[in-house]
Amino acid sequence: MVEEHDADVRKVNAQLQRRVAELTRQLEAAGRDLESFSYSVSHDLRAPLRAIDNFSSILQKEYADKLDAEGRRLITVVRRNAVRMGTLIKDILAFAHAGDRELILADIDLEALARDVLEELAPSFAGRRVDVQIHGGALAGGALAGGASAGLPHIRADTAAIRKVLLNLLANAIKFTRPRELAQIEICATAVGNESICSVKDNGVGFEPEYGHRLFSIFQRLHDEEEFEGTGVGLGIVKRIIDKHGGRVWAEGSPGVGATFYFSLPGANT
Amino acid sequence: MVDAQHEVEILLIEDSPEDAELTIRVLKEQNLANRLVWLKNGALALDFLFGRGTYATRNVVETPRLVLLDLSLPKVGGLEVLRQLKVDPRTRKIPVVVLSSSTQDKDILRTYDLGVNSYISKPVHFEEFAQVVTQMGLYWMLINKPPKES
Repeated sequence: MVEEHDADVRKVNAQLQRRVAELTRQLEAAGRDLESFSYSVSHDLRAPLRAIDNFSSILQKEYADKLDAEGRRLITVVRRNAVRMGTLIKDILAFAHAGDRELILADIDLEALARDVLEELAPSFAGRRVDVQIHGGALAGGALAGGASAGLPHIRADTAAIRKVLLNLLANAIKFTRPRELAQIEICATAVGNESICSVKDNGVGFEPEYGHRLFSIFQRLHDEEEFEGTGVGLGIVKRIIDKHGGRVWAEGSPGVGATFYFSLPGANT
Repeated sequence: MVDAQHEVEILLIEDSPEDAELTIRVLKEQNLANRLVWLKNGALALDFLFGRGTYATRNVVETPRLVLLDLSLPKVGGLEVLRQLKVDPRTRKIPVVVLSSSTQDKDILRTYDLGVNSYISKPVHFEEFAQVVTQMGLYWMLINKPPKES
């Protein structure tokens, strides 16, 4: 009996090993595909775009006087779209690279990081009235009651990646509060059970709750580009980074009132 | 373009006619393209530099002052051209500037391992492209001091 059992165990082990080897091969192939994809995006798409952008610029600069008003307008349309495509390519690459680096986990002082990011973003809201509150204990949006005005907890995560997350969330908060006389942004974080939850709340234009789930998909936009610029890659990057940390992302919003974006990270470390 | 028998200042190795035209156009505006030769693939470039094939009668001692090299080239790739240039004592001192669409760290690292003198990733947009090529041209042709055989 025992020998039979051993033989079974050996058989199952061998099967498992084959399966692991097979999955590893598939994973490596997928990694190579992604690598050649981003190479193709960065190289093969950029080359024709460079020709379109540069030759239309030359046409605009050197032949403007030979074109009538409609001809000049048409060139402007080509120019604008060449610039837009350049931004899209840059953003696709940023998205592809957002999750391909090994995470280096470290103790992060979220509050210091948030202040640092705000300083970097300061030129983008120069001349506007923007009030930023940072506090721990309770979540923005009142999802959790509790003591307020404590500092943000420390978290354990990849500093460069979480910096990118905060940069995208805060840049969005600043962008979508542009129509407000006084922009109010609230950054909160707290430990709930065995995870840390962080939120960024704003009193901006908000969004229809039924479209909330689409926000984190790459290149999904809920606003006109003429109203709010951007390709819609920012929240896709946020989701990719938080996924890689084993956390979750979600959002609450209401049109005309504001939006709150949340992310969670496993392993609270207060 | 000049007769290959005369001294060549810049050798441009670039397979895309559009990129070549843009590069030459910018260099011309700075008066840097008077003695420029443009070759479309790596095999031809090696023939030119080592005086073989079509360029069998060329005096190899008259090396160009600057080589502008694209990486993705038909026949012989840019990395191989760079490798052969940098191992041959006759050509290893020629400054080679890679002008590539690639911004990948891997590509950049490989060119430096092979001894490239500068790596420039070609900007997509017009103003930036013109500025980068202008600065590069002025630096290598006017500011940089090349080695002289005594």
